[in-house]
Amino acid sequence: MPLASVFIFIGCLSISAVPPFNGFISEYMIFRTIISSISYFAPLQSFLLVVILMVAAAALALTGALVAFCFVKFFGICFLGMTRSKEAENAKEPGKPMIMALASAAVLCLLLGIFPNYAIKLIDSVGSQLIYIKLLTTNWSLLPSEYYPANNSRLSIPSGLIALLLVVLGAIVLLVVMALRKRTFVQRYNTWDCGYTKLNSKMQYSATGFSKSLRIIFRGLFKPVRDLEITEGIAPYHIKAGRYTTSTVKFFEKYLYQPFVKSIIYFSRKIRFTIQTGSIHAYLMYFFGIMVLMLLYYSFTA
Amino acid sequence: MFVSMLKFIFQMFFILLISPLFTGVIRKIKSKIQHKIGASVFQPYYDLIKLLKKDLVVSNTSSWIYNVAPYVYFITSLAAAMCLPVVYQLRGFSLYTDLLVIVYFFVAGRIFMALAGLDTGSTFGGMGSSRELLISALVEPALFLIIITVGANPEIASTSVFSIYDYVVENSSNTFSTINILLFAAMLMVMIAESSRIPVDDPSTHLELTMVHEAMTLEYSGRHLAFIEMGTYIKQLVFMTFMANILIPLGLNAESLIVGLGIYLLKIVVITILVGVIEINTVKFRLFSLPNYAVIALIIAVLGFLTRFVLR
Repeated sequence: MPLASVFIFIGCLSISAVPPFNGFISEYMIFRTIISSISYFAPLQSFLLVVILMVAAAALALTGALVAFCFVKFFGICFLGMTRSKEAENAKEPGKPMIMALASAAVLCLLLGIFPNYAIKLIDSVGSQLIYIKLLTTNWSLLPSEYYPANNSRLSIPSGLIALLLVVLGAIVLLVVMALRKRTFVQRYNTWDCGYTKLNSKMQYSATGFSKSLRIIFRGLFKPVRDLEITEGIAPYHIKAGRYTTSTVKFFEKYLYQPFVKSIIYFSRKIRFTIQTGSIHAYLMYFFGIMVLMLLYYSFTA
Repeated sequence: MFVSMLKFIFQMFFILLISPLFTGVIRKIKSKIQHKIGASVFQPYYDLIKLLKKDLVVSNTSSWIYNVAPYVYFITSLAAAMCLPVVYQLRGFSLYTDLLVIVYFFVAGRIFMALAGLDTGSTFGGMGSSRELLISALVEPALFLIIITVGANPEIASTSVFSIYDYVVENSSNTFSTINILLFAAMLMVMIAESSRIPVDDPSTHLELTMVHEAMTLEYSGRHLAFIEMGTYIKQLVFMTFMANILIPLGLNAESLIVGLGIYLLKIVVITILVGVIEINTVKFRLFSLPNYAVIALIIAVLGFLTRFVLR
């Protein structure tokens, strides 16, 4: 799926906040907001807020890096290396409508990354009603609206210049490579396999293996469980079959969402057995009660 | 416009010309401490020239990402270097550049290199990219806190390199303040981790399993490898420039360009000596003791932050 993979790749890049894509603009704006807020609140001696902002910034930085980790894993395991399954080997390009959908999203990622001011202006009209400050002064432009923000509220994103810088440097490198290309020879050969000569797709890093180090480092959070079953053959160490299972605890699901969901289900059960008994007499009684209440309400308000 | 273009070109050639030198200097310092003669400080240049002339071997299983990644890595590193002028006089072209953007350029290069590591289908490549991303994720909070501490100073309130340089030059008299020393220490740790140097990663062992960055680039040869090496040298120099110009701003306000460049080179050499001495006195950490390393860097950065904004 060469074409689809390119568009998915662009999506991966923009969510990992790579300039000049839209994810970068979003993360950049969040960090600039944090910086402006700290520089505004620190002289006002509101230290609790400053410390909270600091923790938020550090957490966002870690999250941003882990997002990159996640999407390298996703793209690398799905699209790169040797094919990992029969299905992957026979993968075909999806139909035109699907390609179009991917392409339009990818193009938007790039456009919003290079001309973010247009989108920011739309959002700005909402924000400015709440805080009476406009982020942008000009409509939209390739260059940031101001020299550098003289006061806290103005935002200038060097998006156009970033794209320009990358294009210029890219062109220079392209020229150099074109010149070098004439003199050298490219040979395609097998991946280096330590002299084993039978490198197969199962020797590659798997998705689980790729994030193993993260599971170990954050084991307090994920509580990974590992189980290895080995069926031995004629002699010990002569392994006939092996079965490896690993699982992690979904921390937030288990300790945040599930208790919440469980308590809601618990209360609705209770209510069901006390109010919704299934007897039609009781339901007619409810109708009657509500009618009386509504009539009373009407007579008092009118 | 013309002057700022000249400045741009000067900065680019200066960075390209000078960045391999400091890797050579670090190697020389390490050899000297071990009472070896060591290779010439210009050895990285010879290696690069040799690599550029060599033919390439490209893996059968690789896709276009493998072929593009070295150039993207190089371009993003160079773009990051263009955001940080080496001397105060050159800041003209960096009117709109930004400290945060530098970090994101590095993120871009790293993502491409990690994907290229997975692209060849080699076990080492996958291992290298997994670990490289892990290390960078661990030191990222410290790096951002350093930048925020520099940028969120109420007198700057921006991450624009232009206004930071202006502020730093005005206040270059109190170079050795507590904040600067703390941030410098944190940045040194981040720099060592990001440029794959010894306590974190050992690029010169003979075993692929102990490498991180080199395991990822194991399959590369010829000019691909030359561009990757160059990208790494530039990346290292960007971090050193950050330390030299923003965290030890002493002498950044020099009148003439030549004196400024001389002071800059002197400061970078001091930092390389520091890095060399650290390398020679430590061994590579276990991968799973790296979180401790990252947390120490983070704590130092947090102390710097609190010193600037809370304990005034």
